Amino acid sequence: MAKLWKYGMIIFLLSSLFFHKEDDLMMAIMETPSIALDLVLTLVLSASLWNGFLHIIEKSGFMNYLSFLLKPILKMIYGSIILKDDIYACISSNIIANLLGLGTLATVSGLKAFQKLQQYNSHDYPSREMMTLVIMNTVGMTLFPSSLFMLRKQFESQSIYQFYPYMIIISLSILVIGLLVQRMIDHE
Amino acid sequence: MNKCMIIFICIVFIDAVIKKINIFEIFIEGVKSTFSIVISLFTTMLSFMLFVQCLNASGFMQCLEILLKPLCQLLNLPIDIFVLGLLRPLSANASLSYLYNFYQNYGPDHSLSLLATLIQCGSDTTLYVVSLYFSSLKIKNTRYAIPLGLFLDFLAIVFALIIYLKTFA
Repeated sequence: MAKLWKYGMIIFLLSSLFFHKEDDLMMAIMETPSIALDLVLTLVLSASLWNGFLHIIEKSGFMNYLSFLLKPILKMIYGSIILKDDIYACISSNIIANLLGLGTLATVSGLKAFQKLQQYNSHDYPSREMMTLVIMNTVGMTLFPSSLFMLRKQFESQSIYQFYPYMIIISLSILVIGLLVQRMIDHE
Repeated sequence: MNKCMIIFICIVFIDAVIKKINIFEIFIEGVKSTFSIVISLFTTMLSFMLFVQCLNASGFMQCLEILLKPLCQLLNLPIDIFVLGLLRPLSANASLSYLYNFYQNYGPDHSLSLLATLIQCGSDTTLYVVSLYFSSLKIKNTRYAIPLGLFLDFLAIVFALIIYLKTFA
C-alpha cells in the first residue's frame, strides 16, 4: 500500500505538469485536510455512538442469549474449536462488531481471536480455523453498516436504506462462496 | 429497519437494567474508547484523501479513461467505478475517500452512487486484513488467504455490477 501511495503520488504530480493542470491540483491539495476532517468526523461520531451500544451488549452478557443461535452456526463454520469458551467470546464479539459495521473495532477482537486460535494450532502453518477467521474478516459481513448510513444521512439522501437489501445479498453470497471454496481447497 | 434496530436496542437495555448493570457508565466508557482511534484514523484518511484528490485533479484519470474506453462503453459506466473497484481491496480508507467524492459529485441517491456504495460495502479490504492478522503473529505463510480474498472481492464487484445493470440502469 505504501508503495502504491508513493509511486502514485509521483505519477499524479508529474502528469499534472504534463497536462498543465497545476492550478487544479494545487486547489485539490489545499482542499484535502478539511474534506478528510469531514469524513473522519462522520466516521468517528458514528463509531462512538455504536461502540457505546456495543459496549453495553458485551458487558451485559447479552451475547449469552444469542449463543444458542450463534453457536450452531459458528460450529458449522469453525468446527468444534468454537466450544472453548475463550475462543467463542473473542469470535462472537468480532462478529457482532462486524455486523454493526464497526470494522476498526472488529479488528481488535479479531486479532485476539487469531492469537487464541494460534495457541490451539498444532501445525507449523496457519490452521484452517485461522484461515476461516481471516476469510470471514475479509468479507466483513455487515447487518447494519452504521458509518455508511451516517454518511448518506450527512449528504441528505432521500432514502438512506435503498442499497441495503442488495448489500445483504452480495455480502451473504460471497461469504457462502468463500467458505465453500475454502472447504474445497483445505481439508484436514 | 429502524423499527428492528430500536427493538433490538430496547431489548438490550431492558436486559441490562434487569441485571442491575450501570449501562450509563458502560455506554460512556464505550464512547470514550472510540476516540483513541481518532488520531490514527485522521492521519491515514488524510493521506488517502490526498491520494484520491491528486488522482482526480491530475489528469491521470483521462489517461486511464482512454485506456479503458472499450470496457467503459460496453457497460456504459464512468471510469470512476473501475478505479473504486481497484482501490477497494487495497484500502478501506482510500475507497471510502473515493465514495465521498462520488457522493459529492453525483449526490447520494444517484444510481452510480448506489453502485459505488454496493462496491464499498459488499466486501472488506483483503490486503489490509490479511497483512494485519498474519503480521500480528509474525506468520509468513499466508497460504491461500490473499488469492481467495481477492477472488471474493472480485465476485462482490461483479455481483454489484449485475445488480446495477438489472435494476438501476
